[in-house]
Amino acid sequence: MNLLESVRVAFDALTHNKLRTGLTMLGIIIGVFAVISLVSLGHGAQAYVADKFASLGSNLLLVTPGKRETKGIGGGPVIGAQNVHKLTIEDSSAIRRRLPSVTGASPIIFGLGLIKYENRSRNTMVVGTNEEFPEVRNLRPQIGSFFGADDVDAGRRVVAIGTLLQEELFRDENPLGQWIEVLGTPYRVIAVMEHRGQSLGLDLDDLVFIPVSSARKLFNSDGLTEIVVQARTEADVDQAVVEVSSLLKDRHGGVEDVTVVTQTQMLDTLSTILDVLTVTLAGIAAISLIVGGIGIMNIMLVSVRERTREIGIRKAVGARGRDILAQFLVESVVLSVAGGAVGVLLAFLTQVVASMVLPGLPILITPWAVVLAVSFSAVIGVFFGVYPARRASNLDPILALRTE
Amino acid sequence: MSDPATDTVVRPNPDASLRATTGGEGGGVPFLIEGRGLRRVFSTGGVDTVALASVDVTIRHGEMLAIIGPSGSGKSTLMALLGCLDRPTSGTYLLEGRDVTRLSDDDLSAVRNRTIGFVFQSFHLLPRSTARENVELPMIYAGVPRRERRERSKARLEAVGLGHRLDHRPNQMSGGENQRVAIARALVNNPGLILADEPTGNLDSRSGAEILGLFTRLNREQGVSVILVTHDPRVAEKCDRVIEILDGVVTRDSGSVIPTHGAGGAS
Repeated sequence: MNLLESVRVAFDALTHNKLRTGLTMLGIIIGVFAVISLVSLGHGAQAYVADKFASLGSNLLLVTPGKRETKGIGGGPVIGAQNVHKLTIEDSSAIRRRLPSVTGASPIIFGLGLIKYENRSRNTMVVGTNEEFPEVRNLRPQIGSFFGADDVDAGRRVVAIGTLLQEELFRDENPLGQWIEVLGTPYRVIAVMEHRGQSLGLDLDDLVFIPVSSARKLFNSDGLTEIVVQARTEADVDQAVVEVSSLLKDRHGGVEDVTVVTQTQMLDTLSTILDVLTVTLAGIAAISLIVGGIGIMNIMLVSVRERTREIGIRKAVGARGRDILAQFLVESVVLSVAGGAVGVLLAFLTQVVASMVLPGLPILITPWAVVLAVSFSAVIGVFFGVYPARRASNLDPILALRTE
Repeated sequence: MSDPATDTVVRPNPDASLRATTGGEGGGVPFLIEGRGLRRVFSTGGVDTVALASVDVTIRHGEMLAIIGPSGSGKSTLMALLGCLDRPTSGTYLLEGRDVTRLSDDDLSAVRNRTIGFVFQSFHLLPRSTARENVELPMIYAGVPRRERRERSKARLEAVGLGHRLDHRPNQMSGGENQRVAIARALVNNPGLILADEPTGNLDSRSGAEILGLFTRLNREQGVSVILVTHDPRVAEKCDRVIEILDGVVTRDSGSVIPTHGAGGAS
């Protein structure tokens, strides 16, 4: 019996008991659907992150105090590192002025504080920075204008606020020129930043920006949280890392006590995390595929028992053991592959619907996930089909014929 | 349909059905079936049951014979052995001069496929397949191309008078029709031997007589050897030869009516 014949016989048998076939396939359908959807979600998240990073500008580096061997996303000073020099505004200015590969540098002090306007108040993140920030982080004022170099130098009490704060504190009022309290100190609103929304866990609309010199006084701190440096082009990033490192080493008395991380490195770190997450989720989903395979084995065993007489008849008229083996093996593979195909279809359908209902949801169906899931389901069909098929092929024709 | 009872003597050309021949010793013609000391013991749970004690049987090409005996006599076991569905515990079995006890399972399948046609009491048709598909089944395992299968199955069904039932399923046909489908299936690969196990057991007497007539005609006109296993004396009396079996041994054999044939003459 050739393969085509086997497939035809398998389809005949499977369409005979449609409900049972459907239910058996359901296990594989759910498994394949889950694997593809989860991998796609993971992959989509990665693309989303990469996209967000790209929108920040791929030519950024982040300087944080403290030397760390493992590269990661920037944070505060390393606890316990006693003889670490603080990053200063002067460090930032030096980077900006002296290094030809650098076209912008923003010193950053992060702090939390209560913002008050009349009787409304809101706890939010305060960012002390300089006039280059809008250019460096690609975040522009929507109305008004960001503070300038003179405001920073003089430490003026002026503030640019995010759109969320504008809505929360001012409602329909024009905020420009109004005074708000930042940690109890009055600041004059000079700009509202453009709407950006969430970016990598930080709500850019829920920030207030004040001159870094003013922030230093406000938070009573002389060290910076970080310096964001803009290289001239993406190609200059590596050069900039070397220059920034050596400049700061000089300025800090020959000690290498800062960490310089590039966008690419940050993206790589995040990607690795997402990769691990995706693989883990896909692995969990794959378990449901295996459970589906056990379902196939179960139903194939029942089918072999039910069709014992048919097997006897086929053997009596000349079917060899391997013909019977092929017949039942093809049947279980058809079951699992058809289930896999429906699962793929369902995953695509879900993606289409999801992208219509939730346009922001990052789902990206990857071809390799589809190939992997379908071939895995075929493997499952073979693996869990072999045992029932062997049982069928080893049946004694006389006993099989006698079975009612 | 000729009355087989009146046609008792020798067929004109019994060796028309001769197939494989071995290099016969002394110029003798190989027998269709030559069983020596056939013994079959079933072991279940440490208990041995002797189904066939020791059976010697020789059947010539072109014979039409009945194996009779009460249930439990071992006639079904003998039929399974002769049909290569089972192997003897001991003894030798030459089918068309070939020792089939030493064949592998796959080779036995091939023997069943091409050399033997089975007809069963309960028809043993695939219930979800049409008459035509059932008749095609042995050809599928013989590797016959689809187009040829279609043609041959149609021709065979027409030959048994079922040209109008090609696409009927077993449950849409009468018992007699089902058995005729089974006979068409048994014949479709042109075997030299038909083995029929109680072929009329599930049929009314009229259909039964028709089926018997069909076997007789096949035997007389096409030289196909026919072995009927039955406990119905009316079936047995239509046959040229009757072998009676009881408690696993042959108790009576009316003997072959086919004359010794071949260059050597005597055997």
